[in-house]
Amino acid sequence: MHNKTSKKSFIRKYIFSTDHKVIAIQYLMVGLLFLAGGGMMAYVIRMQVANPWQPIPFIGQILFPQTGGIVMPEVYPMLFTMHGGIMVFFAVTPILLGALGNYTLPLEIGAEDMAFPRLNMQSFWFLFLGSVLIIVSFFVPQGAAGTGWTLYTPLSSSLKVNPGWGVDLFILGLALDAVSILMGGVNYLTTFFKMRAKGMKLTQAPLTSWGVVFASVLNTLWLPLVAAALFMVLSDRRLGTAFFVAGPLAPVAGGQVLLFQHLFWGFGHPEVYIIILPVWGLVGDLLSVFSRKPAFGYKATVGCMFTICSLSGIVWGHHMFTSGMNPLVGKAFMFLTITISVPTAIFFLNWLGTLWKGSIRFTVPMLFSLGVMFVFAIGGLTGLFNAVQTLDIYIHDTYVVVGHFHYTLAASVLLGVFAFVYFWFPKMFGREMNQALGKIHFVLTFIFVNLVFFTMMYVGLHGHMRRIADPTAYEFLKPVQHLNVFMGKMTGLLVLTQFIFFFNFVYSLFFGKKAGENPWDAAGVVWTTSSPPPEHNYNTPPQIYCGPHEYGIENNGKDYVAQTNPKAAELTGAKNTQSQVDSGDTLPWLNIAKTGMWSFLISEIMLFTGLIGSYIVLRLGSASWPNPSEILNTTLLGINTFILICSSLTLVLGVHHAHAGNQKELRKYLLLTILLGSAFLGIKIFDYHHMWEHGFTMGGSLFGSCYYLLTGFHGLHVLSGIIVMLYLWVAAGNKEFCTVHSSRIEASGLYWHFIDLIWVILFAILCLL
Amino acid sequence: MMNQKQPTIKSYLGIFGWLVVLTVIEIVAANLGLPKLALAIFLVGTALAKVLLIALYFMHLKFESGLIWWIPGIPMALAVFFVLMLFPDIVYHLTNKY
Repeated sequence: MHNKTSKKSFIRKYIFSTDHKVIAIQYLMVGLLFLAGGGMMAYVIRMQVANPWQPIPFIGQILFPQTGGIVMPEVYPMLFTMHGGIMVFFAVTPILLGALGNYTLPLEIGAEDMAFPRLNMQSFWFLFLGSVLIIVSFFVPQGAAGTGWTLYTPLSSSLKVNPGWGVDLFILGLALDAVSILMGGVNYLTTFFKMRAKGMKLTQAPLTSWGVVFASVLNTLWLPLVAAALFMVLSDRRLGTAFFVAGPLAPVAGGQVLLFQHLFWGFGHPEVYIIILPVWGLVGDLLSVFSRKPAFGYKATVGCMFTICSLSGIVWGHHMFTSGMNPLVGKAFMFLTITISVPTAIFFLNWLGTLWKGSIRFTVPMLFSLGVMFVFAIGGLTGLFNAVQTLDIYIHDTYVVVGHFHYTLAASVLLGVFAFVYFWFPKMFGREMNQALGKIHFVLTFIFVNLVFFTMMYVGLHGHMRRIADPTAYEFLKPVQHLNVFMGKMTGLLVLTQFIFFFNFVYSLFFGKKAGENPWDAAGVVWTTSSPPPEHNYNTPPQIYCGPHEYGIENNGKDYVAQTNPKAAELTGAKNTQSQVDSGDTLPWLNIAKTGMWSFLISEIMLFTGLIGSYIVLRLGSASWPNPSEILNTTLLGINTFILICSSLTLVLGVHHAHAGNQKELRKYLLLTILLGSAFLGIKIFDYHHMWEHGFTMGGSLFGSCYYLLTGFHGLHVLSGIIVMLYLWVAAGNKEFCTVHSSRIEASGLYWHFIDLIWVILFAILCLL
Repeated sequence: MMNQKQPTIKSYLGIFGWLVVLTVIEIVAANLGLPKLALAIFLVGTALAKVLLIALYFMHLKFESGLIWWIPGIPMALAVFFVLMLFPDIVYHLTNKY
């Protein structure tokens, strides 16, 4: 354990830092910046709908000087597209997973940092690069993407419909964001399961950490699915394929528009829970802290998170009830969706149980937590209506849906973000935020949020469609136009209210009251270290003796027992005595490197599920499919298969020698693996060249599209594997590396074998069948 | 707990041999002119056998705790579920097979 702060340059300490706390603050700043940008777009959207084709008050002249502050028709789709995309992927996700996850998880479990600090830093910079692309997309000819944040095809996939580079930059930005989130997910999972403080059982981890863990599970599982879809859209746009283009727009027959929707919502629905689970966990913890009571039904709450996490991945179809999907499939999705309400209701009841007869302290974080409860209740209950297939057909694409998802995704998340910032600010910066300003901020935000989003649902019931720039063009919407004006004004006030928060945030950073270790009288282990914590979080490794919610217990004039209190067992009646302490490592049979790699391989399995699954569906749905052996050179592909199998053998032999500490043999086999991998790639390039010259191109047929995309993606993985092997080969020149880091070599080997395994599948079902 | 019996170089060579043999059989089968369905079943079967051999021996699943199967097992189950759910909506819908 480190007990001294190492001396680092400014750049290493604050820009390219590997300290999870600094990285969390970087995420927070980027997230808040995009939150402000996305919020400003929301204001412009609402003002346009309220007073169509009139100059936008206050900021119109700044944003649209050429048009005198008026939003032009072609700009409006860009606004709602980028508002959605930015809010979901570049504001809320960085704040709740990047900032909240990074800051709280290692501290709350008593770890000194994340499992992979350098990966953590890279994760932030991938997000940063993605953010840059998103910003740049506003300034290219034809402007930013105007496809809707869902990027529905063929609107997004056909250049004939959307020729500008804005869509491409949006997709690439999202892809970089996805890489960033996946890196984070691998880190969170490994850190949580391998690095909890000694004594901390799984059931003694704070609910916030559980929320981050389950969100990471969902990210690792489902994000790659949409990543695969995004690459296929990009390929349709720029490489001439036709995965998601059909009809007159398609260069070749067989593309499937609906397939994109399945892939998108396969991730899109879990994304709701990816965002909300950390907030729910946080609220669960805060309600306990400020009710001075243990979290009611802690284990049931974690169980509900698990159930919600499991179900959320198999209900995506309820977003597509009006897509013309098979009614039987629709019914299955409806049933599964409604099932989610059961664990959600238990979750909510547990919150109420925590509050019941508590000594409630109405601090600012507590007020925001209660706010989350209120708005999520409305969002959750209105979700039930949307889940019913027969009703959804009527309200789909109306403001009912917009109001519903803004209650669940915007209102509850926004309030959750503020609960997080107000509660953790003292620990992050060593100063407290002003409580009076915070309370004014809460009251006004709560009022305006409800006035905007509830009104949305009301106008939706009048049949008000979403994504229209001028409701006055429709006779039947004129009776509710005054409500659009009302929403515009309330949105303006909501935006104005946030200046109170930004003022409080900046003012408190420099002039706020100095915070002690534990300004909230909280029991978690994190509140036993200084504010802000030292570089490696704890000066001595903490030992955990009880859960994080031991409140309402008389303890030397305090009403709580800290997790690190050695007398906790005596005071709380807990069974976690010294002789029964947990090691804090849930997977003792899997080292950290392999845990990280297996977490990563989960996402790889899902990435190839998106690609190979799409191929299977497109092929089986096609009226005809050529015989691959008549087009491909199967002998050459067979030789390539042999080469890759050989490389797996050489690598496994290398790992065998690494374990034995035989440096020379290890390097020999690593080099052989690199050479075989390179030979595979060389033959692949030759094969491509040969095929292309003989007319088998990417855009010539659906088979060509599938062949080049799948094998190309696999080839990129081989290339990545070669780079990793080269790094290991160089590093293994140092004898110490070979003996100390054999687990890293073995973990990298897992990746290589996985690549081999994917080729085995592709060879059989794509090249031979 | 971790399985104590660790693989040897001989066992790796044995697995490699099986993988090569199965690959040769696949190529031969693909050129025999078998009916499409039979070929599909055969190729998917041999591919799965090869996948299992790689996962069990080269990726050491056979020698780890049994709990490790949950890690690849969950995404693979979800992958199968996902693809199957697309069948009624896309495959049968397009080919009017229902």
